[in-house]
Amino acid sequence: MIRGEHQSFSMTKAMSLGFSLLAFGFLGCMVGLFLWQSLPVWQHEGVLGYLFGTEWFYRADRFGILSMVYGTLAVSVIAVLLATPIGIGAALFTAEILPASLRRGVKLTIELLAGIPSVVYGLLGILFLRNWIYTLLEPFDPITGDTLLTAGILLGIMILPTVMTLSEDAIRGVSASYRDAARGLGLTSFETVRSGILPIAKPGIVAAILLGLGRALGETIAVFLVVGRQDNQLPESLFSLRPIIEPGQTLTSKLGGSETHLAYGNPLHWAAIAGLGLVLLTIVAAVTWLGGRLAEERHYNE
Amino acid sequence: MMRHWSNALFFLITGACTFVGLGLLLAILAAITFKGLSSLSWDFLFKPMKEAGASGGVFYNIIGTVILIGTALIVSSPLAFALALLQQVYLKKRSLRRALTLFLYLINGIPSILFGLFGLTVFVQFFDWGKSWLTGGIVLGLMILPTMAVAISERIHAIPQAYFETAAGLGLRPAQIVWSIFIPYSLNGWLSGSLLGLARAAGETAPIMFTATVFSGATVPDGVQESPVLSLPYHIFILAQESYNPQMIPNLWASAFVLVAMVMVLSLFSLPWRKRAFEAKR
Amino acid sequence: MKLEEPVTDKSGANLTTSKPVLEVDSLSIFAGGRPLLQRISFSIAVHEVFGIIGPSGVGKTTLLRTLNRLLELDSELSVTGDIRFHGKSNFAGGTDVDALRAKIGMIFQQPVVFPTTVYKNVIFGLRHVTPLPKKQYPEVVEQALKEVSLWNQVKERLHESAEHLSLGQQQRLCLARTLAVDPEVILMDEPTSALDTQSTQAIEQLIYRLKETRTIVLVTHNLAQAKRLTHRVAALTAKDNIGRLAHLGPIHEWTEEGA
Repeated sequence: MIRGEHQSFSMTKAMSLGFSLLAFGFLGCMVGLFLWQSLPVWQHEGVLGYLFGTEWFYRADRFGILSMVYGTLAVSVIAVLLATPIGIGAALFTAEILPASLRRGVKLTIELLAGIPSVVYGLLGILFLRNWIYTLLEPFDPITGDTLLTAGILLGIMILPTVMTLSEDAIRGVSASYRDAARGLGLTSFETVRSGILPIAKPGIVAAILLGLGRALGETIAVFLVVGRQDNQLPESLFSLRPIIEPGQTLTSKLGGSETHLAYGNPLHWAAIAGLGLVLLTIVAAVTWLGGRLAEERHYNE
Repeated sequence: MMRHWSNALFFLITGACTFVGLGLLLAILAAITFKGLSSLSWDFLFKPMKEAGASGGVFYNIIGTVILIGTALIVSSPLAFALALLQQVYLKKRSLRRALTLFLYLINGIPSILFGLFGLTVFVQFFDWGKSWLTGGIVLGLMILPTMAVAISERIHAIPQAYFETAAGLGLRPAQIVWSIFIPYSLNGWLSGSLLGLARAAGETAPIMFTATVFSGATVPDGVQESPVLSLPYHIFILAQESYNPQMIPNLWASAFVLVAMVMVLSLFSLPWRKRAFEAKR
Repeated sequence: MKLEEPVTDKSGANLTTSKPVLEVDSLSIFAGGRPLLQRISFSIAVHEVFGIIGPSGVGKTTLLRTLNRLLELDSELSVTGDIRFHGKSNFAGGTDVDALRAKIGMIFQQPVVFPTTVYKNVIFGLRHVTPLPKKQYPEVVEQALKEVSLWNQVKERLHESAEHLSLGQQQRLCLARTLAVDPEVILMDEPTSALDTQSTQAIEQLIYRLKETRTIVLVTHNLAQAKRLTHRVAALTAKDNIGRLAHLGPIHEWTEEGA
């Protein structure tokens, strides 16, 4: 077979390897670049000072990103908390209850809708969601409808198709024989799902959630438009939820903002911006990698 | 009896989830369609913007977006084929092939803003291109690389063993087999991967806002350096921040509609080539 | 081991005198508008081993899966005619299909073992379907595993993964799982076709023993097996791609000329 055959030099192979190297090069560059460009700020603030510093004042050369990490985690957690139950519920209904013909229609619709650009979600956030949130929060004297909560809810809607369609894949991926065996014993749909299907589909569903989380962590434009972009917002105590209903800043909304342009020319400020990129890349890569591992586990079981 | 109640509850709750999820997303689509169509006209599609977006159309924004995704397609196609061939043909070790899969998977997860930041640093600043359509195309091309490479790779994987055994039996050299079997028979994978990737690229704002696109003052680029284009997503992004001005609203909806329509058309065209994904499942 | 002539009562006297457990009445199955099986009728007596035989693709499995209404879960086939369990129609409104399936258990061609322990596999159906208190589970598990002659082999490994068992052991585990919910009828869909000779013999012995207490419907393509085990068979043949009943009665009365 060709896949294992001896190979002498060929132009085709050389081209293939060359282009692949180019692709690796570009993407390897990216990691190296953020690392290298951010060096000054790690030196200036110290690793812990940069990661856990609570103050970001670029005019005073103070660069601590904790409030942005907090903002990113807050909006992503809200998004996942919203999208997970609805997404898995919808996936179960689609995979286990809907007849095949309808299932295909639902899947297709959801997958198409997953393609709505984030700037459009952002627009809807600006035109509708933030006003609704403002009204909703009235009893708490909100300053504005642009809050971490608003961004979280918007993100939740955005990652819903991802979570739903990948969970559905995981559930459908469970061999029909398990379903037949369980139903053949007299179990109801619900019991079959709970005892038979879910334990087997679990890695795939967790992977779906992680991929949704990865998308939420990295989403920029929609968050940018409704998050309020207020620096240095942190909860007073660990369990205080107040900052959730106030404007905040995330890693991505900072990167998408005007400071990115402003920073070039001031090496330290620029390094602080590149550092944000590095931190974001690390978090997202970790989550994605974990999701990939789990998704892979599922595939190898089939 | 408990069992039946819990089962009924299960139907009810999951059904409600489906209704809410699907309903929400369809409502979004419906809102864009109705609001957008009511402000859409031929002039809007074929006239350039006037009065900072308050009137006129989005002609050059559409052109700009098409230039960007066209460039992305050209940049990404050879790289995607190369990676797919590497994965399916040239890499011998299973562990290496899996490492490449994981690599593509990770790239697919990289937030798009980071592609933008990368393009800004390398092309806009180091190469001193300034904002350029080419940077935007390269950055978007890299972004959609995994989608395309995986689609091609899967298709190569699905080519029946007999095809290349026959080709090898005829005495074709490996390179000739690549050109006569692997590439032609994976073209539909490339097509579906491209359409899906481009659908995503067309709607992205974050990678191009620092690297390739401006809000006004650009038409068709005539070089590389300092030659930005207009684009639909960036247009919407800027206008959205001006949406307190009611004059902007009709044009905003119409622009959003044009962008969503473009994305949907690209994804819909990929469907016939994606159908296999459903056929494969029981 | 040798299975001697399996059924002492070859005449089928009890088959006519006692009330049937299952009656299939003029059953047809359609895919779209096209019939797959047409007007099948037979009835199965208490503690009978009833075979369904015929060439592959004739619809034996489809027929079997209608008996406990498992068919409707996965396919869009439609059914006309009737199936009665103790005289009551399976398709009557208000039928508790899940309870029905608990009474009419099923064993599949490939053993279906859940990726969990042996013990949990045995109680898999039981813990949902029966109101048994939890502390009695170990007793039921032991009994079920003994009934399928698996107890001695797995009693030390009850809490290890069931996926490590041999295929033959897995099939017996599936049978134990079904027996644990105490069905009256057990549907078996070519239960030995995936197994080696030795495991096949073990399963056949079990069937032979189980008929003392249960009614068994056995789909098989193996005529020798049908001869060894069944009281009567329904032989299906395909004509114009439509499955029909060609013979009903003891297998030795059936000649294959039409098939």
